[in-house]
Order: sequence, then C-alpha cells, then structure tokens
Amino acid sequence: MNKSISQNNIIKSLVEKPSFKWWIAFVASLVLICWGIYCMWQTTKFGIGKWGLNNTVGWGMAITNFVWWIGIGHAGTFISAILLLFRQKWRITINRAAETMTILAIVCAAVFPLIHMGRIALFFYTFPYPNARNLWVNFNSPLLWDVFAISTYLIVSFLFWYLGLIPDFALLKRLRLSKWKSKLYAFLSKNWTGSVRQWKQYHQLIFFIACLATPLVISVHSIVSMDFATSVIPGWHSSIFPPYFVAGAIFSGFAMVQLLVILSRKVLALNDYISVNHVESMNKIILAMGSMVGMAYLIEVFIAFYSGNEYEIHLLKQRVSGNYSLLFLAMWIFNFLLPQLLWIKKLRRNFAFTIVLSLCISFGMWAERFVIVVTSLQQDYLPSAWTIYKPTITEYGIFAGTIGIFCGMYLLIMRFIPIISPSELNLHKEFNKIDE
Amino acid sequence: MKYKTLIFDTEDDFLQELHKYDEDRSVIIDIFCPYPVDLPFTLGSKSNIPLTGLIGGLSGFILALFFQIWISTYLYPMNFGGKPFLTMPTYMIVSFECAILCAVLTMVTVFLVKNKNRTGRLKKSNFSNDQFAIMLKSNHE
Repeated sequence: MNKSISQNNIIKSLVEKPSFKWWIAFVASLVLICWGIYCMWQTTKFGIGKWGLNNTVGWGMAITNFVWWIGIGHAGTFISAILLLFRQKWRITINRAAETMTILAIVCAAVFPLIHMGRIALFFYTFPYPNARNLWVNFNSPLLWDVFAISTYLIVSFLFWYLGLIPDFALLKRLRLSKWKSKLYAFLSKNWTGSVRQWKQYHQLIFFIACLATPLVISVHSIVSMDFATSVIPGWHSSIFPPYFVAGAIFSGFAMVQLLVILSRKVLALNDYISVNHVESMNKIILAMGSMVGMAYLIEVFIAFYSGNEYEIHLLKQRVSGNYSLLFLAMWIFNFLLPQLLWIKKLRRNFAFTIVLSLCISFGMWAERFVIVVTSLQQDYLPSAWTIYKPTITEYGIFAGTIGIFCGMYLLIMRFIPIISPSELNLHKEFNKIDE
Repeated sequence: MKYKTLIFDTEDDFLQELHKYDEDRSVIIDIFCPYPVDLPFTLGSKSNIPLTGLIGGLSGFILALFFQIWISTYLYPMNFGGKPFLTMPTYMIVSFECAILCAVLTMVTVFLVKNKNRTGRLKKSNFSNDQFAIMLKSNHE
C-alpha cells in the first residue's frame, strides 16, 4: 500500500477498527430501529387504528414525515448536479456525504406511504401493469405521479452516487485492505483502469446525468407539493406550493448536510479537507433558501387576506391562535428569522452555531409540514366534523425508527466508502492548499 | 501486440514525456492517470454517450406517453367527474420522469459495457494507484 495514501485520514477510517464513539452511535441507532420495527409491526397487525388519525384528519404524521424526508433528500442531488454545473469546486468535499444522505433519506421516506397503505404486501398495486383485476392506476392522480417521480429520483440518485464511487473503488481495490474487501471493491469498480479514454467518457456521463438530474430535483418536490395543491382544501389549494416546497426541501436538506459534514469532520478528523470555508458556503445557501421560504410564508399571509376568501382567512387565524400555534411559531422562528443571523460573518463561520441552527431548521421544517398537513384538515368546511389530531406513540416510534435507519446506515457506509472522494481531491489539490 | 509501459511519479514528468509524442500519437496505445489531467491531445474516437442518452430519453418519453393514452382511452377508460378520457397535460409528468429515467439508464449501461471491453493489458502492468503511465507500442524507441 502506498504510504502517503494509507496515512490519509479519509482512508484510515476504512482500515482502522471503529472507535468507542462510533459503537455508541451505532447501538443507539439500532435501539431506534428496533423501536421503529416494533411500531411498524403493531401498525400492520392492528391497522391504522393504532395511529391518532380520524375521519377528519386522514393524513397526519406519516405524510408529514414522508415530505420531510423527501425534502432532506433534495440537497444531495442539488450539491451533486446543480453545483457541478455551476462549477462550484467547494462541493467536492461534501458531495459524497450529501449523496449518501439523499439515498438514505429517500429510503426512509418510502417507509411511510408503504405503511400507510395498511396492506404493505400489496404495494405493487401502485405500479401500472396488466393484471387479473382488470384495474389500472389513475394517471391523473398526483399520488401516482409521486410513485414515478420518487422511484426515478431514487434510481438516478443511486446511479449518480455509484458512478462517483467507481474511481474510488478502483483505488481502494489496489490498496489491498483485506482479501474480501479487495474482492468486493474489484467487483464494484467495474473494470475501471484510469485510462484517459475512461476518464473522458466518465466526465461526459457525469455531466449529462447532472443536466438531467437538475430538472428532476425541481420536478420531484413540485410533484410532492401537488399532492396538496391539486386539492380544494384551504391552505393547500395554492399555486405557490411547487416553488415553496422546492425551496423548503433544499433548505432542510442543506441543514442536514451541515450536521453530517460537521460530525464527519469531527469523528474522522477531516479538518484538512472540510474547512470553515465549506461550512460558510453552505450557510450562504441556507440563508438564501431560508429567505425564500420566509418570502413564501409572507405571501401565504398576504394572499389569505388579499383573496378575501373567508376559509383562507379562518385557516390563517386558526394557525396563529389554534391548537398548533406553537408549531406555527416554531416554523416562523426556526425557518425564517433564525437563519437571518447568518448575515453576520462570524456566525456563518462558527461550527457550534451552525450545528444548533441546523438542528433548529430540521425541527422547524418538520413543524412546517405538520402545520400544512394537519391544520388544513382538522377544521374543514363542515364545523361539526372539526377535531384535534394527536399523534400516538406508535407514530412517533415509526418516525424514530426511520431516524435510526438513517443514522445507522450512514455510520455503516462510513466504514466501507471514503466519505470524501480521493480521486476528486487529487484533481483539486491546489484548491485545498488555498483553503488551508 | 507487444507493448511497453512508461511509469511516472509526478504529473509534470508525465506531461513532459507526453509532449514528445505530439507529432506521432499513433505509437501510444493508452494513457493512465490516477485523476483526470488536461492532456495536450485526446485519445480515442468520439463518445456516443450523448446520442444514446438522447435516444433513451426520447424512447422513454414516447413509450410512457403512448402507454398512458392506450390505458386511459382504450384499455380501461375511467370517468372522473365527466372529464375527458384523454388528458394530455397530466400525462406529461409521468412521461417526463420516464424520459429522464430511460436516458440515464441507457447512458450508464453504455458506459459500463464500454468499460468491460477495456481491461486486458492493464492487468499485466504494475504501477501504483498514484502513478501515471503511458503505454507504447514496443517497437517504438
């Protein structure tokens, strides 16, 4: 093994035994997964009655969590594709973590519609195929568009992630870490030799996938927003939803990337690669997206009064002073007001502040989805049907389970693939010298 | 074909050597780099990845569009509140997703198949993962 490479902190994490902190984090993730599986089993055994849903609020935490996870998954492809097309070199130290996050977030998101179906084994009914029931899916339904959009997004994100790994797998194969690992990496590197012909094709392929993935990122969360916007429910029936959802998705995704990148930097001692400049660049995007989300909030308030629609006005008043007013307040403070502190350069470059802010944004964006879903449903056009929705411990358990799946899988992946691409770092080593 | 391999530790030495073959590139069989480098000339024929992507994308779009029209108007027409059976704007979304999916799958398949056909000689070479190499026809001095 080449000495300079073996001493590199990026490779070290693949060779050395996991630390005690890693084990604690992994066991904690396993505990959450076990709780989540128990709650999923409870739901499949006893039905959706184990949840707090009722006739009025038919969508609750499940769709909230689904939208939240899908949103988080957006930053990965945004960093990989859009920043690649804009030639933003700082993306190379964070794109692997962000892409990994995307795939895991989509998997976590997929758990919720599957369970909400009630009969998980029949999930394949959502795909259009010739069947003995002589029934076809409804191509006019945004829920079916979701099936296509999210399946496509998962496959394209996975291929993008895997293609980025091919030169790194070839490098790891030649390091001869262990017998079985070498065999695995050799298989995964798919005959990569580092020939200039291969590099040429590879860069062309990555560029074209980035070109295609960019509209895909926009389309996926626009389609998710249409689950709501195509209905006639106050608070949902709004043409601002697609851009509002896309901005919110990238916003929450970047907050999660910040968390992962800063924690990876600490745990794997990647200070030489992930600098304060990277964190600042991402904070600038968070600031821009947070301001866009805030603008959407203000437009919602304005339109409610400007339209003169009594149902819209009632909904807004109910959000401000109703049962979920604290969550409404949280979404305004955490998603709009708090990120405005990033105008201050000192805070933009502060790691501790960034971690706290990212946690606040993650919660704030969850609160936003909960407010959108539940407050619009709980007081509909028929006052006698008005009710309150309280999530049960089973719903919280499933959500915790997906967080466990996300963290546990991320920790495992950190043991098998370099979290920063060594082949891309070589390309930009001059840039890293400037950063230091 | 008999060949020899020149191995370099640094990018500068490698590029310096490569410039010697500006006039006669035909002696170069292949060049290997641990990371992409701006070379003074290119090797190999024009890539067909963009064309395959275009064909894949168009095929995906057209197939998805006709599939939806076939189901909605002929195989199982459903009446949703008196709306027409043929609702083209809503079909665009699924068609768009299928176009992207098929384009990406086609391009990745072509790339992986081409990679498979390009192993051979390198297996016998012995240079490290952070070195550069130029493979030449062995009768060349």
